[in-house]
Amino acid sequence: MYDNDSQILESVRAGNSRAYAALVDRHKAKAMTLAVRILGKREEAEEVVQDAFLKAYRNLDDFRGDAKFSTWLYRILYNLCMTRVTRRKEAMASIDAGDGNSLDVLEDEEEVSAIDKMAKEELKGLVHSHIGLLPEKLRTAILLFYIQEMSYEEMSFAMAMPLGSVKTYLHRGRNLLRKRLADHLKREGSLT
Amino acid sequence: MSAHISGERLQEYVDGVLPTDEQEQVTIHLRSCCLCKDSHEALVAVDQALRSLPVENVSPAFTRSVMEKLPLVRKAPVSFRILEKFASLFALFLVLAILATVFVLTGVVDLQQVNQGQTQLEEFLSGPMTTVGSGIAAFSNALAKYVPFAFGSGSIGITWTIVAVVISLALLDRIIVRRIIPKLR
Repeated sequence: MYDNDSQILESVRAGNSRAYAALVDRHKAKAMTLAVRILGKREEAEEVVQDAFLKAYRNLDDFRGDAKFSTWLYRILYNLCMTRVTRRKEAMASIDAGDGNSLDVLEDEEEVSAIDKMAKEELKGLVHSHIGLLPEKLRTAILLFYIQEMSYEEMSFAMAMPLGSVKTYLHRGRNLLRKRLADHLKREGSLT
Repeated sequence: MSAHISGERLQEYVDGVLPTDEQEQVTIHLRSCCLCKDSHEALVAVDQALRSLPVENVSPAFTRSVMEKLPLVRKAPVSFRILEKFASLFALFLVLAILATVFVLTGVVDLQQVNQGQTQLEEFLSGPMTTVGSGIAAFSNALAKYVPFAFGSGSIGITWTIVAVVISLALLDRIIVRRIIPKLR
């Protein structure tokens, strides 16, 4: 019925609030994926995603279309998730304290070869299980880039951070992930 | 390009964000450098694994639930939005009014003194312009004179008064913005 978000927004603004359902349907799966991956609990993620859609609807007048609707929605969602994380006092250690701070694993031949040798399916499984263990800002940067397929500029808007910071988070997130994958393989190797 | 490609640059190549000419340079280098080629393959493998992260299934009931709540989140009338924006200011006036009433009722400040203070203030305002410094000094003197309990020199009451005002402001702000306004919507 609608080809893009702009058409739906136009319809909602014209008074057809039912059209908002189409917008929810278009974005709920990816929004839920982001929230579940940040918060770790499906029930809590559902609450937060619902709040994000309602907040977006309430503030639709403030959305001027400078960014995509999805980017704006993820910005709201990211803020709500971070509020929850802070409230739960589950914020993980600062990335400066993390072991991914000065990594450039590609210079570590051992790790490159360990990842190279891994079967694709095995690697997928490991990546999926380890991504939830990354500090949430690094994890969010990775999710926005790979799941939401955002550009650096869109990520910068969604996370309300300078472009350089999101690039750094993404870089460190990927490096830390690769480092942990390699550590995991080393541990497994030493056990066998 | 004889030296090895840095990990960051190689990742940018995988992300496809390098300028076209640099992208081509890296492609050429990868054909002849086994070490960089291995690194590139490792990056691509992780990249593909990340792109294959499963997306959550969300039932149609979720959309229905959001749609049922839409009428409850209609934008508040302008008057409430103004109230919300200036909640802290309203809270400040409210606290000052309560404090003034308490001072007058407990006899710390009598109405005659208040009237005298008002007259002095009017004289001060209607007189020739003074410097900001003398204005502040006059204000401090007036406070010390008429509210010695809280603002007199050496009084420990001032500390408690400031603490009370700050706590009251924070509480009122929280009550007005988070509790009362959402209920009125």
